[in-house]
Amino acid sequence: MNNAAPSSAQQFYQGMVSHSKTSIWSAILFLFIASAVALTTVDEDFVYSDFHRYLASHAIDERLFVTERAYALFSSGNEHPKFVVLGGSASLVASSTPVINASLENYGYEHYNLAWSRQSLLESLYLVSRLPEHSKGVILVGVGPSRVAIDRNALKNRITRHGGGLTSAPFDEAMRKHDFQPADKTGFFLIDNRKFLLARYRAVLKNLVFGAPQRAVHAYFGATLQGNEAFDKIATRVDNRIAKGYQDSVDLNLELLGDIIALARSNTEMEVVLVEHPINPRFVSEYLGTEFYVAHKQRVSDFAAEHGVDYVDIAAEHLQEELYFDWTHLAFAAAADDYTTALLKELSTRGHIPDL
Amino acid sequence: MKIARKSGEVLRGVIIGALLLLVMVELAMLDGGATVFRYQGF
Repeated sequence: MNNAAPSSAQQFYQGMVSHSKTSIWSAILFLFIASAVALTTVDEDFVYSDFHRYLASHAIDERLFVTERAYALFSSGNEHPKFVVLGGSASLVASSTPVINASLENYGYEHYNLAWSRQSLLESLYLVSRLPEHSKGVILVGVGPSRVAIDRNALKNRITRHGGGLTSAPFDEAMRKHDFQPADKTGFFLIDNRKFLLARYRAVLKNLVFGAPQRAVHAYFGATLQGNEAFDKIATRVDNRIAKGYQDSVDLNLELLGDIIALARSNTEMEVVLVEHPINPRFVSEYLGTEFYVAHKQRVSDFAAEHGVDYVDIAAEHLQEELYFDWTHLAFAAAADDYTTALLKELSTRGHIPDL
Repeated sequence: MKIARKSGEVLRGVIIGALLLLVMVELAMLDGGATVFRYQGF
């Protein structure tokens, strides 16, 4: 039997593997200090770092770093003109980043593609409310039947689903005007913006594990559901959703769109341009109904005229049925490139961006 | 000698605390992941 006193290393090891109150208190103290340090040091300035701008500019149109792009936009200053894309996934997929960058980089534009899947006009309004004062450039707001058919309850959920993050003075004011309760705030940036920030953490982790994220468009490019049963399923579901919500919700959504225009005018020098997002002609003729779609476009067109903004609707001229993946997303990079080229040309002709 | 043992106990606590913190962040991420900023699987 060995009666020699254990060495320091052995003692240390014993401490590591045995249960004791000291380790429990150490764990609690660690958690407390870590949380306190994080809560008091992480604020908007901390998030608005060069690292985060780097991520935003290197992941310009994929699904993971939209939070980065949002924060990059909020902290972008007003030195350079901006080209901001807001809308749903149809707008995200149809906006070709390479084409936009190649066309506008020489004019010093910063490009922010902030469209995301099923983005509501309420979320678009929040993004506009955080634009730096006196920003210049153009904001494209994708509109389409599905964007204005989101009902009041679903919109209400959009405010709370972001935690207290979806809040800014002008946004909260607009919410009260429409009888929405602004998000609750704790005053701690880290807690209020947890959902934005955690998504960033998740994005970085995924990036590390799976490599650089793909552009969002790659979810669709290279395949098509045309002639497939899945197309019918999706089209029926989407058609039901739009048909159910449209008449009851269109007025409220257009009011939010009005707020976007008003806010862009009062806080910035940016122009808002409404863009009818691409929609599969087959979906229109077989599911949505041509009459319905024409009435929708007329409504948005009247709205645009009333609010003194431009409404661009060129998708139908440039995109045939066989270019779509499903009811609204394009299936080919070349189609997105062609559409974006045509869109930029139209914007240039109408004087929203420089001559290309 | 006692200091060595205490150090071991404290380190154990810090490691447990760090793991708990990770678990808490992961749990919170399940919630955060439910937002529009989730990895959108379309």
